[in-house]
Amino acid sequence: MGKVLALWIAIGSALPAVPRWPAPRSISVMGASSVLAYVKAGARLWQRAHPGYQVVVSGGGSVAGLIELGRGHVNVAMSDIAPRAEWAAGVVGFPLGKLPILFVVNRRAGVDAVGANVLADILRGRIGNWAQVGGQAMPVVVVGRPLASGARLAVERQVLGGRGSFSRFALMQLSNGAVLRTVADTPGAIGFVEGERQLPGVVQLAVGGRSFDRREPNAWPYYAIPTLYVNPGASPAVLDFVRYLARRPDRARYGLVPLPRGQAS
Amino acid sequence: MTAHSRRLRTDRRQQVLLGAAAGLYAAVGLGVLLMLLVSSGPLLLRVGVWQALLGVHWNPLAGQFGLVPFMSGTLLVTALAILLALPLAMALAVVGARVLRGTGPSLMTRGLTVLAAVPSVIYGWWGLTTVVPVVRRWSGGPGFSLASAGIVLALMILPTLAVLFQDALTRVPPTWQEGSLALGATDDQTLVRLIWPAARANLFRAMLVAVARALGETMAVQMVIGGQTIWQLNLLRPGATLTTQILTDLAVFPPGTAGYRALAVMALLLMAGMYMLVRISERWERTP
Amino acid sequence: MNRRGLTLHRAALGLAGVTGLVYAAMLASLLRDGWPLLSWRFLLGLPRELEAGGGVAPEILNTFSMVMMAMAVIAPLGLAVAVQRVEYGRDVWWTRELDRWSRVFLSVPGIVVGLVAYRVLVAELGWPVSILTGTVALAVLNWPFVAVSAGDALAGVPESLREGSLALGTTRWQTWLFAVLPEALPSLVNGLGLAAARMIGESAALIFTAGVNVSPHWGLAAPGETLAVHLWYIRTEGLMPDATGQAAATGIVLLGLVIALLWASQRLALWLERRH
Repeated sequence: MGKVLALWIAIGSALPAVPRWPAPRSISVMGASSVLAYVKAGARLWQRAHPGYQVVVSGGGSVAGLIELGRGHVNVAMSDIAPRAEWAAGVVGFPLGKLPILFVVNRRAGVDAVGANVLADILRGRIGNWAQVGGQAMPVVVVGRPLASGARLAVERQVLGGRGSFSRFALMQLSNGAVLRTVADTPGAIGFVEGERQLPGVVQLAVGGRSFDRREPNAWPYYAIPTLYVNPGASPAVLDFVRYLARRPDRARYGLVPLPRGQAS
Repeated sequence: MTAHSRRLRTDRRQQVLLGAAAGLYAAVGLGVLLMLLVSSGPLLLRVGVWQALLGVHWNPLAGQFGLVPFMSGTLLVTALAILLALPLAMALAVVGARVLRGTGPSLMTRGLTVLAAVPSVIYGWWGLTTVVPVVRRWSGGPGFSLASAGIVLALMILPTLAVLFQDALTRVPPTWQEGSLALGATDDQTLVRLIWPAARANLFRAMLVAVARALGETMAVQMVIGGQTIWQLNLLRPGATLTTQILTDLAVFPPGTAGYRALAVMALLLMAGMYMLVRISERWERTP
Repeated sequence: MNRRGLTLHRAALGLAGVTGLVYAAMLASLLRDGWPLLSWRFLLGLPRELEAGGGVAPEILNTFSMVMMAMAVIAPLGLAVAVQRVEYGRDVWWTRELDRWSRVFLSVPGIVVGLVAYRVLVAELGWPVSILTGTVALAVLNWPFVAVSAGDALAGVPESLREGSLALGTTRWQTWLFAVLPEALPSLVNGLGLAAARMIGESAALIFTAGVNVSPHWGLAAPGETLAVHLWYIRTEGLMPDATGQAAATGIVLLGLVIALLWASQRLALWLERRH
């Protein structure tokens, strides 16, 4: 026993002496999954122009990305949520554009347009049947994302008027893909997905008389603004990388709508 | 120095090396446990263990950390999975151990081993596209439910359970079986009166291994259970388990917050449950 | 077999058939979606984000290299723990606890280990999220599995063999190395094959530690998306038009790898057993 204890203490005290792995040519990006596709594609192109650099992208959600950035464990945070001081103070943001949040409804619900207040009441769980809003007699099933989701935060802020008011009976799915599949398969389901994408098997909901149109994306009111955050002392390479991503012209193909001038940062 | 004393010296050196490996092994395990304990300690001390564990409301934004919904979800889903998997696994084991001849049994074991190694993401997605709609048609609810999770989990643990069962059945000495048949017992009678009782301890321990696997499964369950944190016991309604809640809420609670500690408590609870299973399994180890 | 009294056996056959059909349906749906996409271009190509027709070559390379490296570390370390416990082990309270916790850690959720690995390696030691970090997470997660299966393999060797060897005047290390190990080798190889299969399928522990993208240039510090993580990624956020097919095809490759690996390790075990 004594031997094992001594060994354990020795290993424990040796841990801080393990050489820090010097990886100055490694850029780590962590955070929201909503822009993973865009950041992954951009990272690959950027690395081609900057041989020798390794850009590592990992998931974990907006909050986790910001906190790890604040602690200096990653170089870049992807987030749909504005940083709070206790997570990451003084960080600099590079918005990638606006990512529309689209509301999708199962086909059998028989509803394709609602008012903004009605949408809020549905998501709060106060409207229990589609018949109440002119659809089929079928219970409403709200499909949401977990607390960590930036999309959920945006919906709570922009539609529900604050955190914590989301229906407690909502089903939880971890990603846009799973939400879409769930809404398409579940009669009476309603949910939200980020980004303009193919929406097979669901009805895209018009809210308050407006429906999302890619030719006039700024007429649609519900958006998340995925942003890349870096620490103020970021290295030139990191800054070059985030600026490159924030300026690439093909962002629209990933559903990102460029911000109007003046709204940037 | 004789050759033998040189060998004895090698023996001592080797013992030190092996001891070091085992020490590192213990250190890594203890490290994981300690990190969970350190993360959860403050919460347990602050709210009081029982209040933290026995609350039925999970509303972390409002400071409520009741874990009952998740403990109940874990128990219900695991129980359902075991109940479903037991008869099917036993059927497979009986076929593998007593019906198939020649290369049949080993082929079946190989197939089952492959199925046991299928990544959980595949099981989860298949559950989402097939099991959930079936449960929905059958129950009229949303389909995402404790029952769906139990069914998917049953499919995941079934191959492991069947392989272990088959192994337990084949370990009963063939001479006993031949004796039973020679005395005029039918195959069914031999199976029920001789083989099952003789393999009882190993069958039970196999079941405990399956229970432990079911307790720890995360990805696949999360996709079909619905993730609803309100405590309810209806199998056809959505729910959540300890592992799925760790998965969904981990990203929102940074280390150091009360929410993170609550999740660490959940992880500790899981480990405690598995430790209990191992202890129970030990008691059956030397039972004939 | 006796003619009468087969009701239970027939019922078992029926139930087993139904179970087999369920799994067959599952595999069939995977094949139906993924088969049309399987091609050399898929196996040797690079993944694409928006266009159809991407490949999984870097993911295959990452899966191979990470599993191999993790194996190279934990095969000897796991065997060492097993030898220490079975051949040299004393039976006192803390060794019993060690054995118990080994079995507890067999079914610990991957995400818990992934997080701890992240906190220690990335947060404390400043390693990048990378192939090497992911490899360490895989190794830690599967070390107990190798240790337990190797321990079971060694414990399966009859005691008489050890006694015979020791009676000839050999030391303990000669006994386990030359008498016990060859006897235990076939089941040891089988256990290692299963461990590698477990690692191939792991995703939860790697999302934080190895990243979800691939790099144009491979390296220990490069991001290490494996096949299982790629499958998770396509199913959750993939924007490519052929996402369903891509995911299924990735699943088929993953399953093919697992089957090939288990087949190879079983053949090797069989060969060792015959040669012995």
